Amino acid sequence: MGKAETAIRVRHVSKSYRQYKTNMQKIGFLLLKRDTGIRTDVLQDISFDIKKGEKVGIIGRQQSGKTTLMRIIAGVIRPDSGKVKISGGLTSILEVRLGFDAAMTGLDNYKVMTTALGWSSEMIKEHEDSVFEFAKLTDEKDETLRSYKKGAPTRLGFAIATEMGNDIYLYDGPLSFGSKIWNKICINRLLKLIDGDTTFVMSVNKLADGAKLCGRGIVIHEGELVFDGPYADAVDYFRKNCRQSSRKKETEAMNEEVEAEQEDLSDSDEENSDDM
Amino acid sequence: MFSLMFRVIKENIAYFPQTLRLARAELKRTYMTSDFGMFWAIMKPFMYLLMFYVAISSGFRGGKDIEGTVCPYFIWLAAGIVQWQFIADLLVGGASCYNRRKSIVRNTKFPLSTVPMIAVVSKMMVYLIMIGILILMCIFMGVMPSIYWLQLPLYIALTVIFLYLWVMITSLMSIISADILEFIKTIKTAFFWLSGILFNVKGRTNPFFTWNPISYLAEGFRNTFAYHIWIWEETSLLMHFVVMLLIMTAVAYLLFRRMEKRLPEIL
Repeated sequence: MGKAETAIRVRHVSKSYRQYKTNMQKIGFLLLKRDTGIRTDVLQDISFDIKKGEKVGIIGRQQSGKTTLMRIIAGVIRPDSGKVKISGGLTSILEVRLGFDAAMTGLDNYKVMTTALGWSSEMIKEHEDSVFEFAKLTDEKDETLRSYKKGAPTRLGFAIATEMGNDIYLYDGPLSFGSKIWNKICINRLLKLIDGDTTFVMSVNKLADGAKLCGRGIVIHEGELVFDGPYADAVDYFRKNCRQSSRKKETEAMNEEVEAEQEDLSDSDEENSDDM
Repeated sequence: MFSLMFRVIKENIAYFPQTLRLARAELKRTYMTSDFGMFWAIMKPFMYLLMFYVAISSGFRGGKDIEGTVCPYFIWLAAGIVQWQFIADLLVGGASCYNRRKSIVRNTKFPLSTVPMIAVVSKMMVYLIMIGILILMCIFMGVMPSIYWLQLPLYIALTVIFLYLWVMITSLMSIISADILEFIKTIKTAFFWLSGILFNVKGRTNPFFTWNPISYLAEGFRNTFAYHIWIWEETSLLMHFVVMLLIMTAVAYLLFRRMEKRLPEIL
């Protein structure tokens, strides 16, 4: 097993978040080296390797730390300690409505999101039709997202997010917009995107979705890596051992809780345009 | 220190096409709610100009031209208002630039030093149109293009640098404390009245005018259009301005260096 085989190498990654009650604490943290905030450990000493071409699902309850882990692999936030090494081109989708603004048209939102994902202007032009076609929004291109039906902005975001693959593709987002048919369409589109050599890592929100996409499962529970192996075994382990211990009675499988995806297109705050 | 500064400059150049696209989207968003959006953006400063012109020329100035100028009072006033309008747009409005792009900052590896530039560039379209109108007005009123107009791009560049630093400082500071925004809103009016947008500050030695970058930039446009003075002729004022820019660079550097890595977490 040569080194080139490893696409993602995660070594002893730990992360804690800090909360600040007062501005003074914030200033201390940000500007001086003094850190007086309340620390909450999110990840503790996570290590694993992902080989080139592997399809991996990260399984965990809400607030288990899997989202933080995804963001660290994506390189958006840095671990407090430990290292992440990525070999190859990386595309990471951590939010499917990236940069979306309800007051802008579908087309403008398309341009903003693709730009934020680093597409070139040629790519943006070239893929426009196929993205809107997939999202079934070709006729609504020039309408603002505010006028879109429920779920349509997410559909557009998903279409953009899954239009282009890369050597390594990270996905943390929804895989359906209401109906079962869309769920199937989404999974098929993702399967096609990550086909072959693509290394794929997803944050599993529905265990059944993960089963169709992933061969390997990594279970994160309360900030620790508790299982790493074949996906089906990971699901078994997760079901048996990972109750929502710290939080109260949410014993139902998380299959349900995720569906309540709310549609809050964060309407960016109106500009301060008071005169003079 | 210099490696970070070079990186920021490099990022801003390398990502300029990206910046331009995002700025264009922002511009469209700002003016899309009305059919004549861009028209209103230009009408607004026009109205100010007319209002002040009428009020001041018939009021306490009696319509006399400013001494030392080669142009009517109207052009002198317009040159200042064009500058003020661009600066005022970003004095407060730029401070929310990171917050407004929260979802992008939090979820992608975005070149964060370009975010203030997006805010500046998005306001530049209107600014450039205003400058075009100013030039047309000059010609209509018999003030012919002169060699002094060549320094116009230089003053535009200085204005952009000043605003980029200002937006970076205020946006990062407003993440730490929302009070900063209120503070800037409060001093904005003071800046307008005390930067010599409406009255002649040429030759005054009050430190508020000599150390005030906004005053300097407005005077720069007037030197170009109204006084016909080269930028290097007012050496002492130029030095004051450069010192202010250096101070702002230092503040922006300190804030950005400490906060860049943490922005995705704390926004």
